[in-house]
Amino acid sequence: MTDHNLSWVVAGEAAILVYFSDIPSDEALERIQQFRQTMNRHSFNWLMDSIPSFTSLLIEYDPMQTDYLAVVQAIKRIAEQLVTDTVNGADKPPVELPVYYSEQTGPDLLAVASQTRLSVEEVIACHVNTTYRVYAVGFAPGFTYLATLDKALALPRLKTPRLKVPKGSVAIAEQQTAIYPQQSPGGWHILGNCPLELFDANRELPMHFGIGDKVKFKPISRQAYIELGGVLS
Amino acid sequence: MSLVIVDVIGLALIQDQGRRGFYDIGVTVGGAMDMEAHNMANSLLKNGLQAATVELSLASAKFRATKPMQLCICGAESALTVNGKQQKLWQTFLVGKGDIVEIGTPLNGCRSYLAVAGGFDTPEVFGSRSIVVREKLGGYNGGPLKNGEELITKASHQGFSCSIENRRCHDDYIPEYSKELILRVVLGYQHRSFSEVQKRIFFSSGYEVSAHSDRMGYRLSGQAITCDNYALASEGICFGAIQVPADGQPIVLMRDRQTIGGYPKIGAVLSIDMAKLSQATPGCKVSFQPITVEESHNALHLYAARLERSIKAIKTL
Repeated sequence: MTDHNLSWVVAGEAAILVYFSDIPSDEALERIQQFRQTMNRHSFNWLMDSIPSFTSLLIEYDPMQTDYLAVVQAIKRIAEQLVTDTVNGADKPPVELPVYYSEQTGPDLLAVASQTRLSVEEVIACHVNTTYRVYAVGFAPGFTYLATLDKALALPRLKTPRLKVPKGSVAIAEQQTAIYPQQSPGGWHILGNCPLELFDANRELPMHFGIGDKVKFKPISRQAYIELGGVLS
Repeated sequence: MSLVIVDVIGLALIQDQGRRGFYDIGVTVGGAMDMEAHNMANSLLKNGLQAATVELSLASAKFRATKPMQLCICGAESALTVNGKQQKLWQTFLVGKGDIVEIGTPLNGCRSYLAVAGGFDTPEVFGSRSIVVREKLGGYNGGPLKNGEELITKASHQGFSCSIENRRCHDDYIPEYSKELILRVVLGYQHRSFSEVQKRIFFSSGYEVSAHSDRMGYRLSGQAITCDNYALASEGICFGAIQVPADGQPIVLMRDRQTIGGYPKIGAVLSIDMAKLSQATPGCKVSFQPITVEESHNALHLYAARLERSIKAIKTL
């Protein structure tokens, strides 16, 4: 079904997937955010939660409180409202994340330089000079998918994923970059490490930035990294 | 009051209804795999819906009570004893201080739920006590329950006295866990990217539950099916979604699924049937039957009526 530049499909007995665009873009990101905020303001008794992602929003509802057709009507109504609503926090300044770029904290730094035919300094500069946006959070709690990475650094994922990527690793794959909030397996190219605690379930605000927010990286020295609590293996 | 884990072989976790409202920071729902057995154990003890239970998956376990308490175990068919004396499943029972409760490895089915009057009071994270090992959330360290750990229990609303009554689930409502399942599937997601021929293959073939099945996903093996388009941006995954990667072998996504993913999906298994699948062990046979979303809602309403009858039919012993 399509309407108001949206299309939607059944996902399951209690979920509808709404598509906002064919490909990820800043515009789609903002419309998804806007839709989600407007929908949440309604405090529908049937709304369980929703999952925003690159081009879509999965809406989970309680089928004992409503039904498929009623949720579709609500989706259409929200789409009409969007024209007049604005996104909260769209003009927030970027969050600046300190990163210690080094061979020790970025085991793929040299390989990325050689594969992209750039110097290590150029790789770092290229990674630092872009303001990214959080397009999605997933894979693990607090794992943010940041885009759009400069084409010059775009590389496919590692052929064999690492079993252990250290917590805080700043990594790239295709035209995306991310920070691993906890140690986990992973197949992205690691350039450095961010010493900040990015996700803490016991904090009142588990994450300091989320979907739609802008992020910039700032290179720091080994000493500053250690002072901020960074760990060298 | 507490229950001490004397010995556990296999996976033991604390589970409740799961975490809701944290999808935007990548936190999955978790919760009891067989919600029907988990809920019945709580209902028999007159616990609230939020009470946490111990979920045992293909496990055997031995517990020791530090105080008198009322317990109940529902789920997989297995031998249950208190101080070596046989005890029935799907029925509450009293234990005294120092009593040893032993549950054997399932003879049929996969998961058992041990509930206590009042519920277990392990640490709550994001509004739930469920342990999701992959996310390191819940429990005492984010990992499975271990020998020697002491599970604190909440005070029961009934208080405790020896005159307390025991209750039993009516035989008509005790499920039998079959080794051959027909799972109803709400057609959805990218089902249009699977040709009519591929859909026919999928819905007429038998699949087998593989050994690589866990709380995140049940991997099935059988006739491979192909999709016309694998280039997808990652999108939200609902409970029961059936993902079909390039090797054509379907994976049913369970309670601990990732919140987003980029494989094509043909639809989602009806939640009522997900409870049955959760009791299936490697080697069990599975086949699929397509239904519409309207049919799924009919089934859910009938099921709700059945649950209500099963609660009314509870017998006081």
